[in-house]
Amino acid sequence: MSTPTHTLALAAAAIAATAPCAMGATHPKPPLRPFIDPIELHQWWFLLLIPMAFFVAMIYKAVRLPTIERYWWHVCVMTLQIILGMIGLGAATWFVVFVVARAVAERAG
Amino acid sequence: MPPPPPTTTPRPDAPDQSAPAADFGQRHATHFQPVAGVLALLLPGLGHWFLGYRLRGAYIAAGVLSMFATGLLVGGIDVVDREEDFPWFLGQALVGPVAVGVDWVHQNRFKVRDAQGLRSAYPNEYRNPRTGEPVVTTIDPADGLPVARLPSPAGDPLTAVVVKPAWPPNVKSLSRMNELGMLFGTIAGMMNLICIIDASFSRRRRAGDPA
Repeated sequence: MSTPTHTLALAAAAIAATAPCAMGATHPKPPLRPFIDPIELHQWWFLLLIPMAFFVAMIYKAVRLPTIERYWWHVCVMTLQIILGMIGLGAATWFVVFVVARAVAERAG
Repeated sequence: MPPPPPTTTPRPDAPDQSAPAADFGQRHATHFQPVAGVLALLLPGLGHWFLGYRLRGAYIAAGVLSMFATGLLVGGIDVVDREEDFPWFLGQALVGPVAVGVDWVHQNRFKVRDAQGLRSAYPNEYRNPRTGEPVVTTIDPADGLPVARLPSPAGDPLTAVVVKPAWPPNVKSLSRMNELGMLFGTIAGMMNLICIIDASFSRRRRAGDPA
């Protein structure tokens, strides 16, 4: 189920993609120019958590570790911790919204 | 028989004399390092490099710049925009001159200038490279590619320049790609702020670790 924000964004994208040009035809989309145009990852956006967690761990461990030995091991462990933590937070939020809040609302009548 | 020389066990925090920069700990211990802070702001990791933490500096530079580049890759150059997304740009600017430079290129080389000022080009517009003004494109029915007719500087229609394909300078990112691209850049800047503070207020880490 798509959220209202998601629906509005898709509608805006559809309008932009079908904006008529001077001749009334649908305007073609340019070929992808990396670092200039956005990439199409709308369906797989959550996978971007992996590089984000990896880079955060890379920077944090470069500053925080007392010795630089086993640096990449610590980076991988922290990356996994962040990803599992975010999954846990997502599950907890889902539980609160769809279980606890629903139960409270039903009890309140 | 002479007694063997006494063996001493070095303290855990004693400096490692074998390391090439073994005395950097004394030189930089817990002092405010304004030069390192400025260098860290100029280029991620340069502050640590200056203090002797060469490997750490390289890791910081790789991490911060890769994160910022990933944001650009995900959302395009549209995610660095001090005019439309100023609060996010405040965080991105902490990456340093790289982020400011990307924003300058975005404002001056990609946005079009009309009566209202600078704005992103629409999908059916081409940017006149000479004036920065938007030029509405038409579709060539033969191959479906956009065509733009740039007015000549003298206003002579016979000397107009035809550009084909006349793509817009960039595609505006929408929805999650825009949000995540901005988020990558801003987190890169916030992480670099930690590195700037760490370089500015350098403290000894461990003996034998000028890595």
